Amino acid sequence: MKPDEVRVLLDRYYHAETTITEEKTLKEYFAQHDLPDFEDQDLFKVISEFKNISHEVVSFTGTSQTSSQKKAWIKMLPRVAAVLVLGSLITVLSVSYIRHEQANRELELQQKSEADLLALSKILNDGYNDMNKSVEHMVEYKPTKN
Amino acid sequence: MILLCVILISVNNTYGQEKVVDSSNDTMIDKYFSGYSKQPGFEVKQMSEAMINRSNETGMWKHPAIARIMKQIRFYKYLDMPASQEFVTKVLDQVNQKVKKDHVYDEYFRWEQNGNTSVIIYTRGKKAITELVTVSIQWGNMHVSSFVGDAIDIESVKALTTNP
Repeated sequence: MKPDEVRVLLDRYYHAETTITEEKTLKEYFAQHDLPDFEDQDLFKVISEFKNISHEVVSFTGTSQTSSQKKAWIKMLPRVAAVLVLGSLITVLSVSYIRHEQANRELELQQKSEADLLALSKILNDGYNDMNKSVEHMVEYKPTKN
Repeated sequence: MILLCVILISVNNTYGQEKVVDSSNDTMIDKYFSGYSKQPGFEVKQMSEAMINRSNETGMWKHPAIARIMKQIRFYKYLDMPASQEFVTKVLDQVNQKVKKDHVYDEYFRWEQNGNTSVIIYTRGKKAITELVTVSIQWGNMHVSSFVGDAIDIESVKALTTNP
């Protein structure tokens, strides 16, 4: 490439009108040649020395992303396990407590129903026994506690 | 945490409060006494069919005679509330009027002492007794118990204290 052509390209470069191919050409040129009276020549040389700096599409590989996710999961694992263990413990304790309360409620109701049945039976028997007696006699027979 | 809440709610529904069956709202307590639910000390508790079945299956009843009777019972409910003599008179008058008007219950037995009612037994059902209700007033407290079943043998209840 002739120096004049390079200057034209440089002019377009500073106006941000160059294509990627043209910029590559510029870099390759300055890696091998010098251009008289060009102040930024060193800059182009430095840029060309950085092999990683190119116009190739930068892509993050899937492998590195997955591995970082895995690392994050591994870090999270003890916390997840702790939450699961705690959750299970709370559930088991809650179930036990609810069952215990339920059993107590049932026992109380059972005793109450038995007491009511016995009282009902007693009332019926007392009623049958006193069926032929007058109310006045019943009052005498079962005086009030007052 | 959401999952935990769902588990706890489902567990509570399974083992906690018994599901209300149709018969639960069909007792004399619900029909004639629910209007007094605002009274201080008003307390209603119920033993559902599932609870009674569990007790029947596990043989938890105190006596075989009670177990035999409880096999006839599908539902049990009781009401307790403090009641002055004036309040008792008022409540019993209202209940009496409703019983006479509705023709659902029959007064089976009434015990009076010094002119004050102390016990009333009501039955529901003409061919077979489907509900047996006891209203008793004692020491300033009104207690109403209701046993609901398909055919309650009142003679077996009576025999409970004579031939246990």
